[in-house]
Amino acid sequence: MHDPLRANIKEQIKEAQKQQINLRLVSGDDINTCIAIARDTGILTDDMFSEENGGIGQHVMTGAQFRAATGELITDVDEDGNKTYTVSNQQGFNQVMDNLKVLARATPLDKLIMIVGLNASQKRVAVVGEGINDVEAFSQASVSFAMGSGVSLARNSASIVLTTNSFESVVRSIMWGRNIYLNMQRFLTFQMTCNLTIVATLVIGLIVMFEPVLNAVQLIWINLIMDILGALALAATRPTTVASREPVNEDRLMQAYNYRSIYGNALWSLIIMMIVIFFGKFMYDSVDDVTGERTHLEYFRYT
Amino acid sequence: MADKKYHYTNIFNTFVFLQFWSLLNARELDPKVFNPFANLFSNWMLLAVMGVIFAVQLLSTMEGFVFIFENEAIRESEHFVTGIVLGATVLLSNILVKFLPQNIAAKLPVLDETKSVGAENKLMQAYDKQAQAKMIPKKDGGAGQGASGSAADEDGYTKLDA
Repeated sequence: MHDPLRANIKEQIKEAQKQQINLRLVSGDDINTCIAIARDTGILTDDMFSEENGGIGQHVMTGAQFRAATGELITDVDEDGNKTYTVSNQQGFNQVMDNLKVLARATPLDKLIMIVGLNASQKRVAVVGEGINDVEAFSQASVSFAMGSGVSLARNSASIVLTTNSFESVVRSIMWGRNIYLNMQRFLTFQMTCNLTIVATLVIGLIVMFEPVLNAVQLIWINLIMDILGALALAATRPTTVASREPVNEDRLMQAYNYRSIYGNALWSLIIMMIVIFFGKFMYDSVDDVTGERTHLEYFRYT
Repeated sequence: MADKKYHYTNIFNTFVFLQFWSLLNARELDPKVFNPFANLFSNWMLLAVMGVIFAVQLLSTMEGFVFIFENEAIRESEHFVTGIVLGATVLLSNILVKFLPQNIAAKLPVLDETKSVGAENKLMQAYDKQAQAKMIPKKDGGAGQGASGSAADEDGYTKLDA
C-alpha cells in the first residue's frame, strides 16, 4: 500500500529550503512512515543517514523522547484568562532543536511545546494545520495557515487561510511578507536620500544666492515625487530580487548598508547640485544663430 | 540679470532628474547586486511613475507650459539633456557606494529605532514644561471680584499670604 505525495511537493520544498525556511515534519504517524515520507520529500537528505554525521537518531524523534528532552510545558494564566506558556527545560530544547527534522508519534502538546520553545529562542514560527487540536498552536505561532479544507474553527483562528490547499502558498506568502519589509526599506532609502539633498541644497543655495534657488511650486512638485510618486512606484516592487528570498533582520528596519547608500548618494547628489549652482553660469551657454558666438549666462551674483 | 531665471530652471531640472534616477537606485538595496536595471519590467507602476515625471518635466520646460513651475523655456535641447545626464550619475555613484565598507555610515547620526521619543527626550521635556506653564491660570484683576475682598496688586496677581 502506498499513499503518493502531492504533485510538485519536492520542488516546492526545495524552493522553501533555498529561501532559508527550516522545514520540520510533525506527525502523529509511526516513526518509519514519517522517515519514509521525509526522505521522499527531501526534508531528510541522504547525508543525514550516514553514520559519520552522527546518524539519523539526532534528526528523528518520537513524541515521548521529545517530551523527555524538553521537560513539561508550564502554563500561566493571568486574571484576564490569557495563557502564557514556557518550556521548563529551554536549554535541552535548544540542543534537541538544532538537528531535529522529523517528530513522529506527536501529540498536539508536542506541537505546542515546539512552537513555544522556538518563540523563546527568537525564531519565527509558521504553523500549517487543519484540525481542532491545531487551534492552540495557531494562537502561539507567529503566523498560522489553515487549510481551506480544514474545520471552520481552525479556519477562523488562523491568520491566513490557504484556499488552494497547496504548500506552495505558504512559501509564497513568506516571500511576499519579506518583500513588504524590503519595500519599506526601499521607500525610506529613496525618501531620506532626496530629503537630505533638498535640505542641503536649499540651505547652501540661500547662503550663496541670498534667495531660495527653488520656488514654492517647484518644491511642491519635488515633494510630490518624493512622497506620493516614490511610494507608489517602490511599494509595487515585486519579490523578484535575490534579497526577497533571504530572511530579514527584524531588530532594525534600516540596516547599516542602507544608511551607507543614503549618505553616499545624498552626498553625491549634493555635489552635482553644487556644480550646477556654482558653474551653471558657464554650463548653459547660448549660441547666437547669426554670428555663431557662444555667450555665458549674464547675471550678477552677489558672491 | 535676465538669465537668472534660466539658471534656476536648470537647477530645478537637474534636481528632478536626480530624483528620477534615484528611484531606480532604491529598487535594488542588495549590496551584492550592482545592476540598477535588473528586473526593470517586473514593476510597471515604477515605469508609469517615471514616465509621468519625465513628461511633466519635459512639458514644464517647453514654451507655453512654463507657467506651471514659473520656469523659463529651455533654449537648447543640450541643456535639458545635461540635466538628465547629471541626474544619471547617481546610478554610477550607487555602484561606487556599494564598494565602500558596510559600516561606514554607522557612526553618523541616525535615529535609534529601538528607542521611542518619550519623556526622557530633552525636546519633549522642554515641550512639556511649556505646555504646563500655560495651564496655570492667571487670576483676574480686582475689579470684577470685589465681593471676595481679596487684595490684588496692580498686576492682577492675588497675594497668597493674605
